[in-house]
Amino acid sequence: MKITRAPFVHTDKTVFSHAAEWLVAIVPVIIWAVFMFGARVITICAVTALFSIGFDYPVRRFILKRVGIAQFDPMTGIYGVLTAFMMPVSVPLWIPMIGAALVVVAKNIRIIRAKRLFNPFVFSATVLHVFFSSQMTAFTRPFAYFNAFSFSIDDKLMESYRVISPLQYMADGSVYEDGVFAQLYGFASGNIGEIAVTAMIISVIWLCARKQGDFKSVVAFLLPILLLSLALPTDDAESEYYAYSILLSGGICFISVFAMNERQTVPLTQSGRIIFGAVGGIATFLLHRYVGGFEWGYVVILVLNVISPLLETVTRPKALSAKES
Amino acid sequence: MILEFPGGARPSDRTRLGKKEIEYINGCSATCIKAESDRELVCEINRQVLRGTLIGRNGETPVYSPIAGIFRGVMTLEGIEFFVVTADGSEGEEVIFAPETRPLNELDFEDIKESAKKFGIIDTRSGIPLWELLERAHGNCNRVVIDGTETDSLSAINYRLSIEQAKAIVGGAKILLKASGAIKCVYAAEYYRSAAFNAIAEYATDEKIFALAQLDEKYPYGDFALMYALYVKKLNKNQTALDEGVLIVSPETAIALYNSMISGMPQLDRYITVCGDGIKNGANLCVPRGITLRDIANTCGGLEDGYFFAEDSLFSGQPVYGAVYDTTHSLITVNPEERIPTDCISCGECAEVCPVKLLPSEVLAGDGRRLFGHCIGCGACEYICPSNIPLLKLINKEAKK
Repeated sequence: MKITRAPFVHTDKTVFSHAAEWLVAIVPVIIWAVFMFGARVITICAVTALFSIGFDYPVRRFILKRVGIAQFDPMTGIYGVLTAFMMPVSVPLWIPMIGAALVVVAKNIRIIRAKRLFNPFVFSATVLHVFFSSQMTAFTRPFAYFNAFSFSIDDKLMESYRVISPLQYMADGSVYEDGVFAQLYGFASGNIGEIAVTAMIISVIWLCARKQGDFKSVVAFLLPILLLSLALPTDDAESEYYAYSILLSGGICFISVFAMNERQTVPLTQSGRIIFGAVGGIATFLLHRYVGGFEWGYVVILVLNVISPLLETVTRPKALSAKES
Repeated sequence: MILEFPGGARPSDRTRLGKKEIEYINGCSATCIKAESDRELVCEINRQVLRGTLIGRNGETPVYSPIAGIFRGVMTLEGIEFFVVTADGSEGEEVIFAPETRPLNELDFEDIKESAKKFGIIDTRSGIPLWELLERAHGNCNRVVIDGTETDSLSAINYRLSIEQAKAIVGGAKILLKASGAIKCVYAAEYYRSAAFNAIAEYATDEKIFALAQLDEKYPYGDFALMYALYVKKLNKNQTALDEGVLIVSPETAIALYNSMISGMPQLDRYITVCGDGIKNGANLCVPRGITLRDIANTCGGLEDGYFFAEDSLFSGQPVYGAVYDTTHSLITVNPEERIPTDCISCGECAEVCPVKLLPSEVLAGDGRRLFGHCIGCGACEYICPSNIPLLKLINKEAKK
């Protein structure tokens, strides 16, 4: 299509440059995860990313009938890596492959107002958690480096390194006893990307600085969790300690940094995003506190994804130009 | 204080022509002035005319020959009709008109309106004859705004005019104040055009009637954006600033009015910037009204293959055919590039740049008709879209369904 009408000029930004910003954002997390869990992290990330791209291309080309450069969605690989971040390092490699397929399914479901129905990486991780719970919750202690290329980890070897994640500690009302600094610096056990809290702080600063992220919606998600956990501590912990443990546990940080800034599944409007974040934060805390046993933040995000178009409509700003008569 | 409007985009390629003085081009091979549907021929076809000879009328507005040559009548080019005069080599000969000799305080609205009509002055910002604008403004106007903003970041003609013809701009503004009955005149331009502000301030010394407004450097500025930036007034899509009591004219219009009153010469010249990558020597030019694009291209060293001229704005301008129109301030050379649209990534950039605070990507959800009701067609959303989605086209298309 030759352009013979205005606008005759176009910004330098492309979908590829947007994806590049995200790629930069996930690099600190990958580096920390490799330091903590070894080279197998790279294998898992590569498998999910490459399989996501591999599954997505035929869908875009033959089902969605995209042409030319539009046959490639550069965010697909990023979603794949983000899915890998939500897996423990001990997963057999067929799990990332299934995760990649789920990413492609979720990213191409658009029902309401042409918006994506579910966050692809949260959807993928949630489904994997439901159907492959034992593999997805097999956490190992930090610095237990496994063979990067073995398809699966030997069960006996696995058992000698298995530990409980902070979220699993807190599921029954206990507190995580290794201390919040272990969580903050990322020396806790858990999923590949979710333990790297400091790295994720760097990521969110980058995303916000590059206008890929929205600081207000991140705060909108975290603040209710902080306030509610201060107000409703467990019986055997000081309220501050409990609050910080919750804030730095499991997927809370991950959700606030990556899921809250996945633009296709959150409202476009600023106020919509704040409502999305605040409701998400409150619901996540309450489910964690009173139900437990699962990373409820994932479920909350998926439910909010579905109502995101509605939130967008409700919070749509009033047009400055009065409608023509 | 820097004034701004919501949204807007900031193209990175700021003009390089701001330092180039205006070059005066007297000769050209032909001129083509748009003929309206209510046109009337006054001059015989194939008759020799001087610069300033009355050749026809568009309604009540006289059309004068901008060059000496042969009047060829009305011709059609790309579906547009033009009064055509071809040069015959007799450059420099012109009709002598009587200037206005009375001082400004002795002139009233009717005197100024008749002068504007007699001299065939067109407001180059709106394309409306100035006498018509004055008629609408008289008694309904409390502000005159001289719009010194450029139509695009590449253009520099208003800036150069503000520096080189500040006296005429201020003089023209005083005449407009008198004719419209407005109480104050505002000169508005992008904040970094300090040389223009200094030049205007040298002549606009009466702070009771003159004010300078520094605007943010973003585009596009039109009635909607200017009215919001200056007065926080929201215009309807089909409303003009005059409906809100503000007469906005270009610096060139003020200059044309002032010069015509002083010298007695009708508006025979136009001021334009010629810019873009497709032209060898970009320039700020004073050219005969209706000069052909071929003459412009030759003056500027030739138009490169594959490029064409678009007028005014890279965001919302249109391709120009044949000649420089009365509303053209800048001719931008454009190379039609291939853009393949892909899926919306919901980055929200389109919503961020929309001056009307719409969510343009809603057109993808079939909400185009509602959007069209508010959209001012500035093109900023389509400019910024990283997915290359033709948002403006889709909004207009949805509305036609």
